[in-house]
Amino acid sequence: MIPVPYYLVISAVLFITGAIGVLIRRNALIMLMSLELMLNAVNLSFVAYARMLNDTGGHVIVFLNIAVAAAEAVVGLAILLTIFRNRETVNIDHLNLMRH
Amino acid sequence: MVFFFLLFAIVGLASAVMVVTRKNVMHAALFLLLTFACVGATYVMLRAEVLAAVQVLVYAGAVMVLFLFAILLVNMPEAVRLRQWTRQSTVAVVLAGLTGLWLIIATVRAFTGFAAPPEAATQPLGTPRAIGEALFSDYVLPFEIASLILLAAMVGAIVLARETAREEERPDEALTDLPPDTQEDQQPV
Amino acid sequence: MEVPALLEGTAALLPHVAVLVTGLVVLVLDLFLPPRGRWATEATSLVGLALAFACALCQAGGEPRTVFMGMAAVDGLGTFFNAVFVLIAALTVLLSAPYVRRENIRPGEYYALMLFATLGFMFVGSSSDLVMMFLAIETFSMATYILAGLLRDTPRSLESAFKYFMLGSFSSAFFLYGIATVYGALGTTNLVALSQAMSAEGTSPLLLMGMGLLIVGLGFKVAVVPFHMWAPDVYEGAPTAVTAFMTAGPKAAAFAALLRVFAQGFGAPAFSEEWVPIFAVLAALTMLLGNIVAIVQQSVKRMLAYSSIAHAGYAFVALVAHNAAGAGSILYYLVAYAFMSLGAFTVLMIVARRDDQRHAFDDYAGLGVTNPALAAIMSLFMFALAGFPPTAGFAGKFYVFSAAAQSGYYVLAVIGVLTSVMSVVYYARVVILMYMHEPDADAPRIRLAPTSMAALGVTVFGVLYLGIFPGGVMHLAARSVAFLFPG
Repeated sequence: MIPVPYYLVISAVLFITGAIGVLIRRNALIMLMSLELMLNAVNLSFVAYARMLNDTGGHVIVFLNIAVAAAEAVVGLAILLTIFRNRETVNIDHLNLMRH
Repeated sequence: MVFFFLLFAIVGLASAVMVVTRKNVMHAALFLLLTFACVGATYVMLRAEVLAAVQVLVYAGAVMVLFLFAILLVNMPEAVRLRQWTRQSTVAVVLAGLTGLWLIIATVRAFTGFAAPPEAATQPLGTPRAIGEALFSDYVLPFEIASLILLAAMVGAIVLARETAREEERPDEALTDLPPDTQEDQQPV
Repeated sequence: MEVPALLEGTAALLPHVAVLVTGLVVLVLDLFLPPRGRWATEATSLVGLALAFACALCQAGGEPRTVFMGMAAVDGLGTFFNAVFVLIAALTVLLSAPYVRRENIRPGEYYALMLFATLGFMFVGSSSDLVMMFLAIETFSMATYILAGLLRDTPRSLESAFKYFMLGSFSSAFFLYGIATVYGALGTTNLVALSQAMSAEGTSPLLLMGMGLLIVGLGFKVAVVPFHMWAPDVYEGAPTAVTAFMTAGPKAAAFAALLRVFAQGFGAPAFSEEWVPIFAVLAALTMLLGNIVAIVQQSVKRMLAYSSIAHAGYAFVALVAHNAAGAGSILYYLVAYAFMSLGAFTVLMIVARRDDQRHAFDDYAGLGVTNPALAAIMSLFMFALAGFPPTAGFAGKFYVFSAAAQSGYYVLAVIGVLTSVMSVVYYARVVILMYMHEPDADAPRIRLAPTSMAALGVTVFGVLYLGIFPGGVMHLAARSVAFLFPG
């Protein structure tokens, strides 16, 4: 049996990979994917802790998180598609109207 | 067991790195699918079978399809030629790297000398029955709020994405939309 | 869960139910209304919000308790915040009425999303469980992301929505990671159980990591420096009526979350000595940077965005004080700021005229000549935001800084006073432009819509009432948070 902390370290690495993706990529679609990576990492933590504590609560929380993540993906992609229809691009370099 | 753990961990993390670094969005999406699958497999190893199924259905199924549709709708071949990285990417990587280091060190420090009771680790946890009961007892209010989130997201997505039903011309000063007793704010007198 | 407990819980959450039902009714009602009858959506929203307000008032003064298996708290803090959020929503309905017509936004969706967001705020204020709080934060976030992008043909609005979405989700991920870590450390996400377990077990590396992640997550939501970089762009790009809502509502909700998590959950001395120094640094940075950068702005809307960051810094000072007076003064400050900010943005919205473009300082030149009443009201809000007596801004800052001094944070209080003096520079600039400059030749006289007049009337009354008679509301606020600091 693999000790639970190993899962937690994997989750931390996955989380930070996603965070780096959000911060450095200019392609909005890939930023959204990186966001999903971060949420997956957190869910992995919850499941690992639930195993450690032997508590179903963590599983229920992950269940709810997955619903939230799906909703987030829907809203994010809707905003993205609207931008695309308006400007024909998903590269956020093209979105700097407010740089003064 | 150790072999599978390492397999899923390495494949999952490696494809996560690929998601973040690929120029081609479609490739990134496929690597994302691989990461989702590996996370799902890890759930199985943690004996969270229900969540593994949900992970595959919702993430690898629904969310992935959503992404693929979005890519089909917006992807342009020239996107790969555009600049891929933000200007401050080094700063961002350093900052995020430090945060990551802090997270990993804190996790490791928290568990040095920690030993889980071995029997706890193999019991099935989160059976469909247990999750269902928890959802409708302890977590009934969060469950309802989750449905509210889905409703808000749905309304929002429709509001943003539907075709413009209104006429392209702005209605003129005699706004039909106005109650007769209301004057527009900017109407000169 | 048994039926009686379910009914009892629903009865305890009657204000929330009222707002939810109103939102759903407005959403459906809009489909059946002819274009000329759209005022019914506003009327329905206002009636529903009035009902919710009445329900919230009925709950005042009860013993703190939790319902829905410890998920929702019915206590002074929750009730006070419920009332504040309903008030913010009602004012937003009033000020948005002319705006949605002018910018051709469908009122049904607009008000429904706004009411869902309000419901999210209210659940944040009444959550006594971290999972509940996360879901509530997500509820209002989803709705506000969309609201920010409602001007679908305006690139700025869409850019604002995208940035808000990206940073909002990013911070939510940190917040959620913090919840996971706290859950792993103590085996529960319930705030009451957490604070008991923490008093018993003391700090641990895992708990401190969770605390750090929660600070990062909520720091983004409140937009304190250094987690503020999204705020100016988002506030500037969003439709002005939505910006007004965003500076008042989500900000107050984030402070409700901070109070719940840090004053209630992590309130024990062993923990407060860990987070209070961090918060003190954040507060100082926020006050300094918000006020300094606001000075050099060329757009009034962007200036007010930085001003909103600076005001979050002032409220943060009260959090640092970590005493009963401080917690009370946060509530007072949030009410005062809501009135000032909603009022100021209403004027902005009116001056911007159709297409929401005219936000430069020059657009205010000579407003005192062309529209004396509007200019006088704007001056009042500017003086209130700068913290002049006898306005709500002065009383709020007075309470906050004296709470900080009470806990021995004299340096923060001094920074607060100095930056307030500094802020006079950019607030006075608006007033000087309005009165000392010649108007453009084609500057119109603006006739106000009745709803705008009502919104301005309520906010002016609020700013003056809270400034001249601060005692009543402060007393209420102090009583609402008394349970957080027993003895």
